Amino acid sequence: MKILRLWEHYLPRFLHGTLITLELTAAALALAVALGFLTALARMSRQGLLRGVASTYIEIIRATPVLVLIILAYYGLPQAGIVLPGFVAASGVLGIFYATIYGEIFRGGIEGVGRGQTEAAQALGLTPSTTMRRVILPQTVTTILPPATNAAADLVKDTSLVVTIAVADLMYHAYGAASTTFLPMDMFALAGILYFLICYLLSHVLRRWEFAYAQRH
Amino acid sequence: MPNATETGREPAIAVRGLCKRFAKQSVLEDVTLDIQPGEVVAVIGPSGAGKSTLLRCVNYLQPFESGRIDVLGHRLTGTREAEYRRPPHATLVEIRTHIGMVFQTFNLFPHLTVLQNITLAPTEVLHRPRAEAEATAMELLGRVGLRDKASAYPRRLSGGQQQRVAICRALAMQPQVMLFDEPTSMLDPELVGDVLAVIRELAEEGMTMLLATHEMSFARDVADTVVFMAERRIVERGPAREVLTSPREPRTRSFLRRVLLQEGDDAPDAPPAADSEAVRS
Ligand SMILES: Nc1ncnc2c1ncn2[C@@H]1O[C@H](COP(=O)(O)OP(=O)(O)O)[C@@H](O)[C@H]1O
Ligand SMILES: [Mg+2]
Repeated sequence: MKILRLWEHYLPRFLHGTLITLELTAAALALAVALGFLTALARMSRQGLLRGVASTYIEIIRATPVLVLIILAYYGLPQAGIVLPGFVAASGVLGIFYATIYGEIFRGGIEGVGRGQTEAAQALGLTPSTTMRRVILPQTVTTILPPATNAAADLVKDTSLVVTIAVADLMYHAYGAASTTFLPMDMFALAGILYFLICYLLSHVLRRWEFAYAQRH
Repeated sequence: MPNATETGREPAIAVRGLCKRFAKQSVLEDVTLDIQPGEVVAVIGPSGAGKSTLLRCVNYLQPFESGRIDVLGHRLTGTREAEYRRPPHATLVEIRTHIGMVFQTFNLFPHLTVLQNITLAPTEVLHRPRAEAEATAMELLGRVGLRDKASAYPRRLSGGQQQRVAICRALAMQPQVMLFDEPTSMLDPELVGDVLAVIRELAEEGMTMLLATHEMSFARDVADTVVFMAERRIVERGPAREVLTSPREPRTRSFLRRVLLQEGDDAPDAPPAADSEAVRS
């Protein structure tokens, strides 16, 4: 089969691109989770100003296409004197964008834990941070994991947008191979398979974890 | 049991002119109440009277607008008072570690085992070594007859068992005062007795307690003092037997009659003829 021999030839550089895709995902996900958690706390804050800033941030970011944000960060920021390497610009933008999504996921999870839990913890003298860490967050795991898994799979796919700023990810190599071989369908099919495998494994692992967690409690 | 109100010691809790509103709705108006060390005070009254809110102000789960509460050497002040200062975190932790609270809905932590529920605060707040906290927890569980449930998760327990675990969780902090907010009102009737027995034992050991309850015969047997609340205020307070068997206020009397009829218990005695106000009602 010709296509298999072709794939075999291109596989090493595709795998290298896959590695970059995974690195982008990991960096963006770490930022999205950390910033998302802070966003969730800000949205639930008693301080009106903080709540306002957080919801304005969410509205603006979510109403703008990620692609536009990536291009602005990579080509626009240098005009303001800020030059970012492609990887940094891309993972930064994806992290900031997905922070709005993770923020809402966290907020939903935290608000889903009954008020009585916080009160019981407070009445025992637990500090707010201990309450969050030992009482509230552990109870959000089962509600947060399914949407968080879906969002992570979306993030994997959205990393392919970095092809526009020449970060050598999986999509970048697919484009390259497509134009040198004049066999775009074969090459994008291979890329598609690799994206599918990443997302499938990611969901599978997280679902196993979720299931194990639910079993224990 | 000696009447704690006559010992002349500093009250464990002194509530003065407490007022609390939610948005525009007033929930507590000018509530004043002393609880002496070792005293058991039962708060009775119709639902919505403000019993839970009063309890929740005492450990500051609920800030309040005016009045003050002196509790175990700390002063909590209404947010509208001139001398109001947001209580420092350390003060709240200190108050809350010395006041145990038991909720109507138990509020056990569902992701933790019974043992972990009880040891969480002693290890996190008091920094007790785990082994010591666990030994204390097992001892408490033994006292309420739930030693064999230590490694169970709360959802595997009956309501009565959950509430007894919740009491152990509060006691593990070695509180000086216990607040009980209708601890048996969510329980099936056949499970109420076990929980009341635990509370009764605590009372006999001299624990200072403020207890919102609808169990009138229990209040009569266990409480030193009964406080009747209705419509945001304390209507009547006095020795438990007196308030429950020969209430002075007509509103107390009609409330008791209603509740006791439902409970199938004895209605309060007919008012003495000399009490002209009572005769009128
Ligand atoms: N968090 C709250 N927000 C608004 N209103 C409340 C809140 N908690 C209690 N209330 C109101 O305060 C009143 C007294 O409630 P509560 O103290 O729970 O009474 P009780 O415990 O005697 O039944 C009720 O009218 C109740 O609706
Ligand atoms: Mg209540």
